[in-house]
Amino acid sequence: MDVFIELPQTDAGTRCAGICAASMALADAGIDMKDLVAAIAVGKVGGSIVADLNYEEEAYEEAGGATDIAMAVIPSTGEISLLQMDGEVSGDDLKAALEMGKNVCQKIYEVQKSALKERFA
Amino acid sequence: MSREHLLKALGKGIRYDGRKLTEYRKITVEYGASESAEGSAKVSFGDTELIAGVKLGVETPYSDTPDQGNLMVNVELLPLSSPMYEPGPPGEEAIELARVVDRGIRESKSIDTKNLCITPGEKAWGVIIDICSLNAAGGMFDAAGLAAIAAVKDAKFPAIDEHGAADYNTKTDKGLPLTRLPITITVYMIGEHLLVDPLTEEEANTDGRLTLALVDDGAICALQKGGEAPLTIATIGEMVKIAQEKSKELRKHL
Repeated sequence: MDVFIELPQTDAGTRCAGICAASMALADAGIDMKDLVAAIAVGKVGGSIVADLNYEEEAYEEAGGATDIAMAVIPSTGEISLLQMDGEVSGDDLKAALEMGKNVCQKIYEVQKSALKERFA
Repeated sequence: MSREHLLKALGKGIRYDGRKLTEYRKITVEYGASESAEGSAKVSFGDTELIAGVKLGVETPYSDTPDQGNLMVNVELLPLSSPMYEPGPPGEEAIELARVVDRGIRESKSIDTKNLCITPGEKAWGVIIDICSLNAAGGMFDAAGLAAIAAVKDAKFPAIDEHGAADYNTKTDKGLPLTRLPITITVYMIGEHLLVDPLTEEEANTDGRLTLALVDDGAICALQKGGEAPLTIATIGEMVKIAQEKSKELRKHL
């Protein structure tokens, strides 16, 4: 099984958007799956924990700079199937960022599901 | 060795070589393992043994960072070091290993790359870290990370000759501009058990792993998840605690 992802235009978060799209494409192709996968980049930018960093935020250099944490979540179990990080973060902030990412992934999951349902309606 | 047997032993907190789950094998760090490199170190974790060397060269800076020197990490997993390794271009394991080590050093900003600039836009020192395996017996991520950072610490600039090129026959006593040193810790999950520094047999049974790079105060500066099993946020939290604890121990070997 080969999955091809093209990025016609990018503004950070490409890995995560690619994972969301790939998991939907697999479902669309009728592949048996345990669940969809939703992904998002979370992180710390200038002291605040945020979701879905754009290029400007990723490149932020003041007040401790930016931490970019790419994560993918299996929504039905809440488990994390991708985790990569660049930047700097404390253990507590990492936990807070992951919790935020988990919630955001649930929202993405709803969008993924409704798009697939619409397709087969 | 069956997986069932391994899980049963881990459940009792026993490992095949008698260690505790979060105990490393005996670690040795030997500086200056290579005469030809600007800095080098031979590191062993039990039977796992590898060499890291630093080459410094005068290069043209990248156009998007004209005032900075470059960093590059290569890993060669030599066929002589394991029956699993094949000759030829780097495989997936070597590439991941190089990326994880690169990330740890780059993201901790441990080398002040602006201090590597000689003439902005024209000349800067490039730091090339070569890591090669002598004997692969598990736990390569952490051993490679420690070897790389030890080699970086050991490196001394060569002199520059009248043509502006590096004179490799003359070493100066000036070391790399280091701000802080990242320690690489990988926590492995086998079944529900978390452990560090796996033997080859343990590594083959790994379900998931998380590699962390940590700086002095326990802050995390890079993360990379590997293995097929997904991790819960609670498990990641436990892995972070183990890594923070263990990084203090490994740091003492530098």
